Amino acid sequence: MNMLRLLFPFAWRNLWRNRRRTLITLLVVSIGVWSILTFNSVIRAWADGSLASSLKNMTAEAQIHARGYLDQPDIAHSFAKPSGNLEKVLDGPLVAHWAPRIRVPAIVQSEYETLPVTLAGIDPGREVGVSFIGEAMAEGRNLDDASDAGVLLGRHLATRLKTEVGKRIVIMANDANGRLVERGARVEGIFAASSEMEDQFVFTGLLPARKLLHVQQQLSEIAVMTPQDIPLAKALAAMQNTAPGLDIEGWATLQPMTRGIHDLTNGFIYIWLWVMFVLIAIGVVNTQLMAVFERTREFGLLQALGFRPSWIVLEVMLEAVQIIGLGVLVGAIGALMTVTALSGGISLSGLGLSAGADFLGVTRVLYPRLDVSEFFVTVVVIWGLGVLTVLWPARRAAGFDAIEAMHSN
Amino acid sequence: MNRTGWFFILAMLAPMAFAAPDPTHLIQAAFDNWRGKSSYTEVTMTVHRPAWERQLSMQSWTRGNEDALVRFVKPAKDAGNATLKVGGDMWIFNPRLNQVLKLPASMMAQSWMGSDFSYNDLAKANDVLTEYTHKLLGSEEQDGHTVYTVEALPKPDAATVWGKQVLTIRDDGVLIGEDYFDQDMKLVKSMRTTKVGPLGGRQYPVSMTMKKVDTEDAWTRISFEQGRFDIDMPDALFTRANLRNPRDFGLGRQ
Amino acid sequence: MLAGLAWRNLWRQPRRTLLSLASIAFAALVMVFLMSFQLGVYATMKENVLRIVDGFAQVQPAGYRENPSLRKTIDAPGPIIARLRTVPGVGAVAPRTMGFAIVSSGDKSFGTAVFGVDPAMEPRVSRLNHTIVNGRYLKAGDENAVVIGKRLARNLDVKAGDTISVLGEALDGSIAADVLTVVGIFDTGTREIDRQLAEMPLARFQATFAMNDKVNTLAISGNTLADVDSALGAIRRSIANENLKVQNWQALEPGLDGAISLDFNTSMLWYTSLVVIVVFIILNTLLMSVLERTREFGVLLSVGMRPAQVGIMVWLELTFLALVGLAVGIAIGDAVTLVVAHYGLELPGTDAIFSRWGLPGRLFPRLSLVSMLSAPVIMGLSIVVAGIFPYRHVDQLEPISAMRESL
Repeated sequence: MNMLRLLFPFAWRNLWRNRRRTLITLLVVSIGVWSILTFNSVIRAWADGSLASSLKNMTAEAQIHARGYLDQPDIAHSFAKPSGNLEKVLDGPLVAHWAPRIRVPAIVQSEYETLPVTLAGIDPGREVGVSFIGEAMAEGRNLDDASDAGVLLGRHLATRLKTEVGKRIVIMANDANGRLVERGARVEGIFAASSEMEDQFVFTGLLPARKLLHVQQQLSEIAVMTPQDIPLAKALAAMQNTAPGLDIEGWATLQPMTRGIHDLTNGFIYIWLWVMFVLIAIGVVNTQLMAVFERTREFGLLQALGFRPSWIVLEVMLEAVQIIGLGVLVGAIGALMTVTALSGGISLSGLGLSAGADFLGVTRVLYPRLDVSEFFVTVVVIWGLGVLTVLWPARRAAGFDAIEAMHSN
Repeated sequence: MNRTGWFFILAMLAPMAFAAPDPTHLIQAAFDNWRGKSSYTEVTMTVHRPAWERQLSMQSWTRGNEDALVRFVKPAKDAGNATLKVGGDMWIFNPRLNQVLKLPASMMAQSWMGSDFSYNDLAKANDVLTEYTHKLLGSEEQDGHTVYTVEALPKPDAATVWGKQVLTIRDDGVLIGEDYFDQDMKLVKSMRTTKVGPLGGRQYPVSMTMKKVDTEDAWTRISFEQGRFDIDMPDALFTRANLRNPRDFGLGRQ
Repeated sequence: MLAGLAWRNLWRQPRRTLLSLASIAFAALVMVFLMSFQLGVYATMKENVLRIVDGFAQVQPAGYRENPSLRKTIDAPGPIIARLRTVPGVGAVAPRTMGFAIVSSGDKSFGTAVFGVDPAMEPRVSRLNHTIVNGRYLKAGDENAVVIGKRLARNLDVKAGDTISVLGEALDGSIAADVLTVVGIFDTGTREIDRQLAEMPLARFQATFAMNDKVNTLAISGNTLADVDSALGAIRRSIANENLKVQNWQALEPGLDGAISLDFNTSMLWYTSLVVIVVFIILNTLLMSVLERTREFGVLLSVGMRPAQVGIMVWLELTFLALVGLAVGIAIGDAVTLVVAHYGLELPGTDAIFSRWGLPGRLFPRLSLVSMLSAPVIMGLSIVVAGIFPYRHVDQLEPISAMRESL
């Protein structure tokens, strides 16, 4: 161990005797680590963002319905406002946001056209963080609150109806007794989202919707979003336990197609990351090997001066530990700083991707964030790899005959 | 001025007051003329399109503003089909299926028998009376009658899509025309009475044509062949049971 | 002469050369495979989604796509279908009608989209018949048969063998009414389809809805989507004199089109970063090796080679490295792609989406000139262009000081 103490600073000085080579190694390692960590954050932000966007299209992470609603989504299949234990769970730490809704099939009518839609009675304040409606207004304004009797129409629907902000349309639906009810409503705003959302949904206040359908405190649906660090299964189980009479499902069951696409995307991400990893690993290995094999003369000299072969190996390894370690550190800190700087959001619109994104209603801003465990794993693996790589060539180099070694190169 | 003087002045003003009728009363008069407290009519509807034309004959019973039963008589393919409206609900009966079906909201928007009227039009026929405010625009003389033009604007919370309607009504309550305007005040569709004649003891718009403004060669015409008004209608007439199995109430052919 | 020197130089340091070659080859291999796989996945997804109901293309009356209606018809479909069948690439043409009607049983009734389909042709265009869970799909010769979705069956409280009534509006405005026997119940997993779709034999639909032999759409399928896509011109020509439109797959599934475009454009970002990183790594290791060889260059300069020539020699080494590495990478990449294309790759998620439709849950890469060459070419060009750095460094060397340079 004394040798260790001696060799450590020796290795360090050795590194800096050949500034250029060392700097290049440092550069390769730090940039490699930086790119893998940053890339990881960005690509995950992209995948998360895609999922979040499709969930914000009125699905959310989980939904609560009365039994039978999914087969017959009418007002007769509604349930009472949550109370007691269910309310505690919803207002507790397992749930980030929950939005109460009326959601029934209806007809919207203008002077020119009559079209089938889904009427959604919402509380706009509660929809924030749960659905797209607050962020998607193209004309006019959002609903004020749950008692706003105006309506919001999708842009494409408004075009087909030949109506606009400020005009009146008529909503028709079947009430709780199966009777036809209708109401005139003023178009307060027009929203732009995916074509499916634009054509399907008409939003109005929760209270006027209830009044129209002749129900008092009922709801068709509660849409739930959980905090990022809470696994959905946990929140689902908690809700299902407190309300066994209700139909509570997660998004994967409600939208199997979204689930499939999400899994597929994740698969691809793993492949990408592995590819990058291998490439960077090859780069690091390359620099290390070259560093050792070019220095056979130097090792011969050291041996001639009395260094034992095992000391040479140790010395080389210590160099690797230090330089790779430094590079990894620099790269990791750089990635940390980059991701933090970008965490305010990367806008995709400048990259010409917004047209496709608009169509699907996908978010145009990415929010990268760091996954601490992946961070450490990457750092440790690359460090370890870099150090281990020099083991074999170092032993070979140390095994050369001293005189021969000094003559080589 | 003494009482006699006031009396003369009022007497002179009175005819003018009466000469400018209340527009709401005019529309009410048009409905009274059209349906009375109850009515039985035999109607032929002609639906004309660029590629084809169809004629349907039907019998129609109405009571008040809420209840109506229509049964088709010709052509044979449609004979026996019937539509019942009671209050806010509508049902249809089909003899081939031998079934009474409640009309869901999604079908209310469909056109009625392929015509330019929708089920909804039939169901909401007297909206223009109850959901609008009325203003008399003017009058003119036609064929010995005074014809008034009334503008109807929707009340603020009305469940109606129109920007306004303009009705022309004769002094005896015969509806001469009805124009439907969108919310930019552009004319969308028009109904015109093409023949006024006696029916059931009153003057009646016996032939009316509905046409959308932006279509070529497409219209629907209603002609009244027979009519009786303000007759006693038994409650049993406007029931689903009667819809399915017509009973003869002695009111007219069933 | 320089080239020969450059080549021999490479092999004087076999280990270093091989490592750099390995990096380049690996990157090229990965790009070829990934891009082939990505394009293959797109093709598979498109075909699978279109095979559910849409077909690879459709012939429709003008204005039908924006506002479908029973009234918009294809009047004499027989000759048109015959002509379409002769177009190379077209496999099957399925005529269809669609109307909105009330479907009821007992006192329960629901608004439903009712399709009239040809039981012989339809399974060649749509995979709905694979999702039958109870009873069977329609077959040729069926008269008053109907298949409905699982949720509709549940709402109506019927099972295979029961009868339902259909009430709607016929083409001429009269009432269309019929009584049909449920021969099968399907479960597609998509709630809207299972709740609101019914299919009945085309001939019966036409009779009930007074359509004579008119239809609303013709759905076209083929061996692959690419076959039908390349036949679109010929398809358009064979319906040229009718008031009809051909809708390609992008018009039929605009959401899918948007999703694929977005995904492709985004992945270009990732490919670019990959190329940048690879080039960076290659360059750095090359720079390092150039620095190691300063003495050697000094010797060359002192025997009369001009700095520019030494620079070009180094640059040629780099170029050879890139060419050989890319060639090897492309070759191996092609081989791997072809092998996987034969067996397919199963990824989580695909099985879930497609298996219920009787479609393969495996994904297959598709090798094409684009996937094979685009990434490697760009990488090669980048490397060659980036070679300017070592070139400039060498160009500035002076013989004496270079020779003195030690490690």
